[in-house]
Amino acid sequence: MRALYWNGVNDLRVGTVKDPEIVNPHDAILRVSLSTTCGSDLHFIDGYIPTMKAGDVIGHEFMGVIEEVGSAVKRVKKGERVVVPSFIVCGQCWYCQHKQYSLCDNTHPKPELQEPLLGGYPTAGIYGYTHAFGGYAGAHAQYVRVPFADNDCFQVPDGVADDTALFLSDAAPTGYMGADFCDIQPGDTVAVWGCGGVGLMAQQSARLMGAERVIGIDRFPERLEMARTHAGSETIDYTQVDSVLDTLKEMTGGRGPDSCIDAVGMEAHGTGPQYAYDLVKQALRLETDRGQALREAIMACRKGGTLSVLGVYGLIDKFPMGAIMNKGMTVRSAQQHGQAYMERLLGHAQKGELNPAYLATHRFSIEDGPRAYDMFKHKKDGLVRAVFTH
Amino acid sequence: MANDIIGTQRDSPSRRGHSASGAGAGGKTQGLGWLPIVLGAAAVAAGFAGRKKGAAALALGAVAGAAATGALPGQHKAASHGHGGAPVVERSIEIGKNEAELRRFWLDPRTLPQIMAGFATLRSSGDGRMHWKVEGPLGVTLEWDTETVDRPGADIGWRTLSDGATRNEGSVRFHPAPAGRGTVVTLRVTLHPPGGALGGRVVGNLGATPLELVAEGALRRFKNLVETGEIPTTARQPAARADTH
Repeated sequence: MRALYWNGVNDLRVGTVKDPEIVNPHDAILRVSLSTTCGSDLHFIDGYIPTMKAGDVIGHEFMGVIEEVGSAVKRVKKGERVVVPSFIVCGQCWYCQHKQYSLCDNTHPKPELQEPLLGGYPTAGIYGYTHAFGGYAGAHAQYVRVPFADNDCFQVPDGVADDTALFLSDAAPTGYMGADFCDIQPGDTVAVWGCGGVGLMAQQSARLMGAERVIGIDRFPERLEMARTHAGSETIDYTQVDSVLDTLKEMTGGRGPDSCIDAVGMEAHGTGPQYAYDLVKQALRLETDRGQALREAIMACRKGGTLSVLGVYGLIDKFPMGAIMNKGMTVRSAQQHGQAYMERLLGHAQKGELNPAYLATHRFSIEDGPRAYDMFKHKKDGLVRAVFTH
Repeated sequence: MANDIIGTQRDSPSRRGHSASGAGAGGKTQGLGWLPIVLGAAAVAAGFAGRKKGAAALALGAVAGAAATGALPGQHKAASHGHGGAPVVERSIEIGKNEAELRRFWLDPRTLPQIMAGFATLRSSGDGRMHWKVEGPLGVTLEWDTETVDRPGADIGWRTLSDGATRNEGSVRFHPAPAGRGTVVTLRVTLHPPGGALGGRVVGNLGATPLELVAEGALRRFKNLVETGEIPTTARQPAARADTH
């Protein structure tokens, strides 16, 4: 089959690889219908998350049709149209039983690569996202092996299009979880850093959960426009204001946002000396992260507010712990627990309350994978998400 | 994985953090040939084999940064020395099953070969006996035979039959975890390769890394098997480059 793979830092290629096969009894093989780029892919493409191996098939946000199932698969059937969350979960361990699915104990084949960075406690495995996260082959390919298919494949109801279901794999559950973390109360203002796929989903979700006001922060006009149009957000172009903090404080009558969601992560862009500091330190590998969005979210949040971190991070400098402590903030974070939210998300999609299909601004064949990622990385031509049709 | 160390003596340095950074062959393990590889450190190094130089530098840079900020676990000390200088490691894991189920599963002759895969090839020869084979590079091979230990109400495990040159023993204990969280399973492993006290010191001087990885890996795979019925793997999956996979 044809697949998009990582060949080195900033070197993606397309090639022919063998088809995946059923290896474990709970596996299924999925014929991928659609898959999409995710901003977190850029971190290992750019070389900030190690443990990729040349030849690794990438891609962790996808949907498709079940082609084959293993001997222990009971619920999922061949021919079903399904969406698959990015994290592979067993459904049996303590974490799965507590719906903290991305912390699953039983799906990481190479935990020794990840444990040192997480204090000795590995996460669930993920498709196409470094060997530190399991080393599973990704979904920018014609077929992908899905372990624990009964837990990880969700049938897409009639009336929910492939384009919509695709983003229920990652962008929607990540954003939805980020809003859920905010425990939104009547009257709340939620500020969201980043108006990419996850940030837009977080804004729409915050609105669905009853936020009075949602404020989206970005610098790309087309993304800010999407935030206004699809999430009913107010927006801040951070390149057009002297201070995002002051702007947010004034917009909220001096109170500050009740919750701040970081949907940016380790390669934040920004302005001013702090951004320059991060750029230099990251280039020298003295920190892995450029953390301006996260720092700003912490500083902007009201006293006693909630910080919800969805961006992916390694090591960050100049982390304002004093602000978190003295303002009595609550910090919540996780890789997405997609399986916990899928039923609700499919319900929202069926009722038309959450339709992420508009994120699919550009379509590509897998053969154009490297060009698609280049356009995605540099936000060329207003691209929000590149979707591969297989 | 809840792999806390319980009740171990602290007199031998571990190089665990280093090995996982891909630099495990350095330091004290240098010049000891195949032993550390046989004992499992290679499992980590192999994960990085074939990566490009740039990526390697990045990995090391990131981990060095992590160490500088104290983000990595400290150099804990987990190996102690049993009789004759043989290293002993003890690791624990929490599994969501009760003791009776776990004992039954552990004593199933199909279990040990699966959870030791990657370290040793085991063949059941009936009556609870196992033949162990560990293959190192350069054609060096260690082989030994063990019998099952089953002390009702106490520990279960294995120990080498008396005529072997390699002495290897494992014992598993069970303690209920609080609030219905299942059972804490503690595995204690001793490995005394040929060479008497000297050989034992050689293994001991490697630090606790290799035997620790054996114990941790075995416990983790046991948990995987018992809780889900399978061990996660990326075996036989597609990849675009045979030279790196």
